[in-house]
Amino acid sequence: MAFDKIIADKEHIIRLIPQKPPMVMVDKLYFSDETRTFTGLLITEDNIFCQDGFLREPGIIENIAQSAATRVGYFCEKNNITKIPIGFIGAIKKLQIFELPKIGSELQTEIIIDYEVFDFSLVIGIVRQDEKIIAQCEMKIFLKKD
Amino acid sequence: MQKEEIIEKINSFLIEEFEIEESQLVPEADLKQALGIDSLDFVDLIVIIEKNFGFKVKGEEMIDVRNLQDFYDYIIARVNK
Repeated sequence: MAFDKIIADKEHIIRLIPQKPPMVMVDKLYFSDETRTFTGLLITEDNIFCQDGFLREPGIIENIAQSAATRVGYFCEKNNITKIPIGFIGAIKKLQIFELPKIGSELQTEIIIDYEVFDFSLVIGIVRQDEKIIAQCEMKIFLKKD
Repeated sequence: MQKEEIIEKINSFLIEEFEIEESQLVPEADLKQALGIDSLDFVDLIVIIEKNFGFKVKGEEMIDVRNLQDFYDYIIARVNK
């Protein structure tokens, strides 16, 4: 999906998620509503999850998890909730990585909220590069509220 | 929904989603010990219940659910409420 503008840049996103550089794996927030969120990441040479010219699997998983965290942080900010809950990955299911993205390429990650129960969110993460799906998984995220 | 239909539906998602053998699905089977359903699986179980049977599960209602028979009884009671 193409977006004309971003709603949060990297500096802004750092205030929305618990990770700090060099662990930050999201640098753009394009869109976020109740059920869907779109983020972006430019893969730079200094990315700590890059090896031999490619972003490796842990970086892709981290990108999905942080995209979900960005959604929570953005929601809290929009609703004037000062204490942003911290999310913990409870489980990852049906992970498929079709290809590793190259340094210099741009990822677009879609987070779909599949279900929310108690303090858990079940999300579907889809990572695209040039509109092509390169990875996807289901993630169970526990939100620690205080 | 008939009792047998509910049990069949429960058994079918336990087999498909949790990879439990059909032979393990006996009423006295303990959900944690015998069927290996841990606390994270429980979240999936609740999601499946809510999606399949159309009611919201409250955490406290599940406290006494220990074995498969308790689980069947809970769902049957809630579906027919």
